[in-house]
Amino acid sequence: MKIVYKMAFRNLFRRKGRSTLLITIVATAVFAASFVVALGNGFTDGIFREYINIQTSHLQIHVNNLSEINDVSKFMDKRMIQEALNAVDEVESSSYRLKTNSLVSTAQTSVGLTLIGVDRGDEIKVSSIYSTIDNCEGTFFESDVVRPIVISKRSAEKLNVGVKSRIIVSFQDSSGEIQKVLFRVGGLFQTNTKSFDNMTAFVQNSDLMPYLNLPDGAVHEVAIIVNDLKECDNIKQKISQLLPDHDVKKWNEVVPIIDLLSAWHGLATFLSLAIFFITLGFSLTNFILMSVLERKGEFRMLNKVGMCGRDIGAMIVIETLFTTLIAALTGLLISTIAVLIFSKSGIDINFLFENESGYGLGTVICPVVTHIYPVINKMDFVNIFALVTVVSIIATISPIKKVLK
Amino acid sequence: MNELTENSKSIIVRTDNLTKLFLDGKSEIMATDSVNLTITSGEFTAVVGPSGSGKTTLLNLIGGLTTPTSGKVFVNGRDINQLTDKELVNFRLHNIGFVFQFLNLIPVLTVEENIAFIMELQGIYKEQRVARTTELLKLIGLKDRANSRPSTLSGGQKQRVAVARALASKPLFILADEPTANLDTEAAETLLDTMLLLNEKEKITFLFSTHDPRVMNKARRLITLEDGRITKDETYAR
Repeated sequence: MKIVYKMAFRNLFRRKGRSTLLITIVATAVFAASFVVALGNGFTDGIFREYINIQTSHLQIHVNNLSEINDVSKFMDKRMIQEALNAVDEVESSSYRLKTNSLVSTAQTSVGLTLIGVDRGDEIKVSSIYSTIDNCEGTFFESDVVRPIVISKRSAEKLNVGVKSRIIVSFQDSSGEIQKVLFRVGGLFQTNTKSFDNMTAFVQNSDLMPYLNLPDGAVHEVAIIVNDLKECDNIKQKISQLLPDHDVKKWNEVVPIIDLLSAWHGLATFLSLAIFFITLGFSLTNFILMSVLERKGEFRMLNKVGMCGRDIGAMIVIETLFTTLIAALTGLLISTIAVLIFSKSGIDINFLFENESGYGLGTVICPVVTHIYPVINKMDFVNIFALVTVVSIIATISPIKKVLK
Repeated sequence: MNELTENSKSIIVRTDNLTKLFLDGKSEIMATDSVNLTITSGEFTAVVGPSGSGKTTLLNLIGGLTTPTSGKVFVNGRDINQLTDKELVNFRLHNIGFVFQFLNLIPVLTVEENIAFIMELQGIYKEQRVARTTELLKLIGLKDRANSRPSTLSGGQKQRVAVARALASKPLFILADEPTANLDTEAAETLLDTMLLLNEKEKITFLFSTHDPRVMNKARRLITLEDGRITKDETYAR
């Protein structure tokens, strides 16, 4: 019915002040909701990025059925893996690591750390741990320090050591013999993951290999970066087919908490949107109710002269949809602009961690991001737009019932 | 089809013992009391009587806007009280034109669109709607205000537009509840002249309530109501 659309559209301009206010309210709510979603996306993306860049890379290869105690005697053949990875074009870079549990001691104290042996040239292509080392706090195996070890600032504080300090690293070789090796602190890294910092130290493969009693070409872990993160599953499958006796894992399988975080993020997004839109629904109902009750006489007249209740209802729904969809588009546009601005500069949330406890955020297992780069994708837009539409329609039910009573 | 309408085709409205009782707290108010009435096509009939005599209620009952407590209303031989709400709305749309005392026009539509409104609801083609609207605008003398909004019209002009809208789709009859109540003498005269002109030219039946002597003087039939009962029913040759 063309006349219904015409009347609904013109009714928008009937009370310009009220329509403007309603559009402002809905646009603000939509902007707030979409920006909260964008912040949530940015926050989890930041955490995922931190995991991928520092800890997991895109894919990892381990020996099958590797226990969590880093059994040194369970190793893989580097050459065999190299051949397989060379056959997969999508593999951009890889780092071959040795891994063992160790006790790092000074004259005063000792801490237990997972010792990771790396080749600097390969490692910096798969992990950005090197970038977390400040200039004045050493380097990632670039200095002239003999047998360097890179530990976290937190571990250094516990051990009361600094750059070039000597420390004794004890670990078991593949035959179970205890080895004690003198290292000098070559650099101090600091990531946003407290648990990673408290548990990890890096040494060069060439410094570790002679003490592990392993054959040439033995590796415990291979970290891989692929050319397209979205293709990770397919590439994983390809590598698994080439290395059937090995355990190939995607980044979120290496650290299962990522899936939990992802689920939490989904739930948090859902709840925040639900709260936003329930509130919006009530406000909208109130607005529409005021608007239609004011025109009750007019609706009665329309019904008397022959306009059926269905058309009157449709007119109220269309009128509401016109308003809310204009508002939703405005809100989403503002949100897009805000996301575009902040996705470049980031939002500094360091203030959350400035005090000693960091509101507890520094103690969580997952990484803590200090800058949020908001992200919003097409599906978020579609979901929010659909939610506004549904809420608008639901909000008209009660006013329509009242007016047709 | 009703026997009466079969035998007498010109009867378009008939009421049988039409009674409407309103409850006002614990007391009952008899708005219409066993009203028996027939309206034939082409009539220009006024229902008159003092305030509270039941004029508006009678018109509402005939228009299917109120359900009677007892009795029946036949419009074109059809018992309208047997219709469902939805059927009744559709019946009104196609058979009855309404002119109210207030709130007659749709404020967001122009004069032209207001006149064409009922035809659009009926699904009449645009060409026909435009032709009929133009014709009616000429008849009511508001051709130059076709694109004006109702808010810019005077009370009399609004009522003339309402009359034009009511008869645009050529209904069986038009019910007008105190159409001149809020108009000054000149506007009331113009409206009545317009209604009479349309009654003669279009052969449209008018049934309206009034207590305005100017209107009574122009009516060809006067039905007087007192306490919900017809006390007088007189026909005049004017």
